[in-house]
Amino acid sequence: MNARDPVELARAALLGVAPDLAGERIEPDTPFRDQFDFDSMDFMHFVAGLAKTTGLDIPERDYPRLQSLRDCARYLEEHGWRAA
Amino acid sequence: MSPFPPADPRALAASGLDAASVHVWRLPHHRGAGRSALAALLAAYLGVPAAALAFVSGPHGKPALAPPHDALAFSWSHSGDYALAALARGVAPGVDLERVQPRPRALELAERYFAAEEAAALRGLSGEARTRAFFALWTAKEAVLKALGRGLAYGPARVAFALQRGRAAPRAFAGEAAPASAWQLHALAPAPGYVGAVAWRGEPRRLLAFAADAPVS
Repeated sequence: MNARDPVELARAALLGVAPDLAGERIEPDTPFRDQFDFDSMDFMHFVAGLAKTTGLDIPERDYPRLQSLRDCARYLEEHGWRAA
Repeated sequence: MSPFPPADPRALAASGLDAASVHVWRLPHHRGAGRSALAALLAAYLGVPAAALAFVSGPHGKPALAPPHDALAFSWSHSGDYALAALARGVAPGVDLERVQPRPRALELAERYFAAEEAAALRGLSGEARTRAFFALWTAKEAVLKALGRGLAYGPARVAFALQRGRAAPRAFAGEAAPASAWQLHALAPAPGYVGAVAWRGEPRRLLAFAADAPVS
């Protein structure tokens, strides 16, 4: 993983909750739920993992803004996440 | 819990959905099917072709029928091989369906997102009892938050439930969802291996559940 690329960071968080997606193509601009079986529990696990990895506090009201890898990358950058 | 007897939506359309009832349908579902089964069901209730229906989104994304059909309120959820649709007039229902599968990290999810008392109650359980209670709480939260039109972004901990013999009962709701006593909640057993819940804010109503095992046309 390129730790400087927020899309890759979000992808790693996604694989953390859905390891069966490893090796599959995940379109960065397509909502997760349109690409694979990803229910609300998976989604909540994913965002919790993303918050933990980045150290950002992601309030639940912002969750609708995190529907795709690109959404997540944009959100992280807007909220001051910087690559280590 | 309600059984889901097979029924034909077109036959029910004739008798109608009265203001004292909520109907819940179990429909077959497969990935990629979109909302076509839901549209066909709603069209059967309204006596119009599915192509005549238009959908709009509420301020937080909750879908609804556009005028002139907006008096028929619905909620929709799918998981695995099934979908559930809740229909009502005069109240906004919220429905959730989950395929029960092992969730080894359920407690972690509960500790992050549930009210402290709910997480503590789950910690006191183990094995199947914990799984059952977790799904009861989860479906209750989703059903209420979907009825509210807000979804999980409202904050699942802001609608707290008491666990009573494995069932969830509204206990303390915050913000616009309050008070908890204004809500009706019913657990659903739509099919073996699946659990669900339907909720609405308002007076008790008669809950009727049906299964359409072939696509509605």
